[in-house]
Amino acid sequence: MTSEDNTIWDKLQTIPREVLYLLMIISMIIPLLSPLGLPIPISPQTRTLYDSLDTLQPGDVFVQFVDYSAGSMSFHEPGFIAITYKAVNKGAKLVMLSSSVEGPMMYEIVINKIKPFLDSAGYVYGEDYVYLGYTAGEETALAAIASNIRSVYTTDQYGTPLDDITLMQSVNNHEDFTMLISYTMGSPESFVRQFNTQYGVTTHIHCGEMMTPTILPFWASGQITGLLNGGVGAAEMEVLVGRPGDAVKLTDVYSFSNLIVFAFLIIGNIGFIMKGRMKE
Amino acid sequence: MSTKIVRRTIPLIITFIVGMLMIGEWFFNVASIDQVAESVRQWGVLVSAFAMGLGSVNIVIRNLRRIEKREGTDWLYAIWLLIVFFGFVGIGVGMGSASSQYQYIYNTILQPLSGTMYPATLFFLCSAIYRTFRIRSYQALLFVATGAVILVANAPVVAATFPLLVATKAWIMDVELTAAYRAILIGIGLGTIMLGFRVIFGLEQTHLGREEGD
Amino acid sequence: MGIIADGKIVDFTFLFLIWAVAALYIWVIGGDKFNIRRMVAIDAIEEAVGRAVEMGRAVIMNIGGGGLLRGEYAPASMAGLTVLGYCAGITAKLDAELLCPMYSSGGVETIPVATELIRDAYMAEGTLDRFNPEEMIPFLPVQASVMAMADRVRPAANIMVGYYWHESCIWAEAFGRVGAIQVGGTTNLYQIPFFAGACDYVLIGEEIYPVSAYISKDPRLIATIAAQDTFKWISLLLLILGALLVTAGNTWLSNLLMN
Repeated sequence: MTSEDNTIWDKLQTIPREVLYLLMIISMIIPLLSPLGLPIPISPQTRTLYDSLDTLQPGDVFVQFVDYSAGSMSFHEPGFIAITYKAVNKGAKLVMLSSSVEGPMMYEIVINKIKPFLDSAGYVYGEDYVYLGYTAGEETALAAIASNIRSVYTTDQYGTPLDDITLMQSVNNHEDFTMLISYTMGSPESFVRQFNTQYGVTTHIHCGEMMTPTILPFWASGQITGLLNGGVGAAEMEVLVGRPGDAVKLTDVYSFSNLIVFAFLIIGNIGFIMKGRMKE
Repeated sequence: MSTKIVRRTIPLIITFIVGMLMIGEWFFNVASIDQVAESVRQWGVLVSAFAMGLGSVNIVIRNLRRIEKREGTDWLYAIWLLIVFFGFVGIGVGMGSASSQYQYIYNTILQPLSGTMYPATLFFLCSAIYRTFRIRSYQALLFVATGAVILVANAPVVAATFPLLVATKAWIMDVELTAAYRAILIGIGLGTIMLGFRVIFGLEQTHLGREEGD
Repeated sequence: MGIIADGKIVDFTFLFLIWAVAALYIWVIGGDKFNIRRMVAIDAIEEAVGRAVEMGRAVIMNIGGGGLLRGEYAPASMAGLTVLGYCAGITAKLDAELLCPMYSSGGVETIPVATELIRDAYMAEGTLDRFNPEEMIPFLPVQASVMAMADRVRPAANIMVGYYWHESCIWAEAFGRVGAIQVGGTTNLYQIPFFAGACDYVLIGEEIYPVSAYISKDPRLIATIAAQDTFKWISLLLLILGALLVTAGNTWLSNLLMN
């Protein structure tokens, strides 16, 4: 390497990635150990979801697709807890199911966290909430669920026939769903296609941040009523329902890690631009 | 039976019938079509489940072969894979996926590993942004500037401190991004319709392999 | 209740018209009247394989984890299989090492199809003795395995066409670090920006669908691409007309299309 290739501007462009990763890790650990409690603005997409949940009446059937996995649990679970808390406060009946393989495992983990407020609200399994388990088939299964839930599920996750479950005796297809939400990292569009486009069911989505830009057109057109943007959306929902939890703690991490990446973006371009001017 | 009939003609006939059936079920109010389509949808659910079973058998066979060959060190990982595989299957089938034992191995093995892999995207994304986002031209300047605004405005602390940045980000997302993605969506939609046309009517046969003589 | 389901009359009309135009272009006008523009990313595949041969390194071709059983992912996987068949033909002809790692649940149902495609390509070039499915088509359960492959194999070319999730960014970066020339294409909107940023050549969204027409130069396939483009123009006209009408306070067109 010549001295021309070893200026400060070259070094700014070739900072070892290990340095970047180390700074990222530090930027995540510090706010986790010592939360700053920075303010959280509420986005319009989260607001519409909250307002829609506010319209739930006692006895309405709120369907929740527990379709997230261990990888996205850090933000999907807080969102699920906050939304379920709101739905329970409105007295809605909860029908939970999964169209992703890890759904049942995620349910078994989260049910222990929502059991306290389910119990304090007097909710009884089978009468006020039920979990039907996993069904294979992805969008094919969603279409079948929308037209006739019994064509896909004959029992709940624990083997009880649907007809023996009080709640499910009055839930047969999309006509009985007041609204639904999918916590997914897969294909939110399939829920829009099979429920909202086909039958006009109010549909909400909680997806990862990288998916939000693509789902926004559906929210803008009204096909998706409420949209939670990953961890930030989950934090916003926790604030709105008055139950700050894990997602709110993570917003400081988002702030710092985003700023670190931004700083490196600027540093790399400073090196690139100054190197170019030096050559001229 | 001739190879061509088995490998081409029969799959094409099945594709045509099922394709037209599902399209007919979507658009027409004919009870008999609805009933047949409902059955086909259930077959689809079954086939998906079978595919998973097929995949499992495939994994076992491939890794057994790797152990048999004992080349390099891969066969050691193959042994471990089979141990974990049969452990999960055995406990899941024997005691149920809702059992505390299954929960335990899931929470201690799969959950932490999955939980690590997905966020690892963040680190690769960061190094990709640092490595590739260079202002080489005016278009690149727009690209980098837009990305930078969204990156910074996504940080809640910045969003709360600089409302103008949030308004800019909202405009970019609601107007520019939505418009661009809608255009791409329309293109993908039309492309998918045409691909469906080609597949249903047998014009697209690349997925069936080459014909003899190609 | 008519024979056409409520709220789908406009959809059915458009589908019928698209098919009718495609049929018109194929069987009346003739596909040889149309041309597909040059697709740099597809042309780059042969260049990439040639580079791999010169450097004595492998070509990695991946079709994503979407599989063939899920409606939204299958079209992209089929496009990926088309590119795989094309790529396998070139590697067979130029005597390059081809690896086609399959992963995830989607890879499971695609392995037999991919195996047949690669076998057919090698058979057509008379190099069936070099076809070894066990080595050429490894099944790697997780995305990290493909990253490990990048470091171990250090390929000269990485071609990713199919349906991808977050692994698109991880792999594009991992293969970019080892100096592979990269061609990426997917219909998953969330991942297109990662390919656009990290790959040397990118196929954006629907650009992965005309690959079979572009490679084969089959007039019938080219005619369907022309029909698709015709309806893009019609969509654009409807967009402009609808926006102008709604701005003027007239909603008949938007009401009609939403019927």
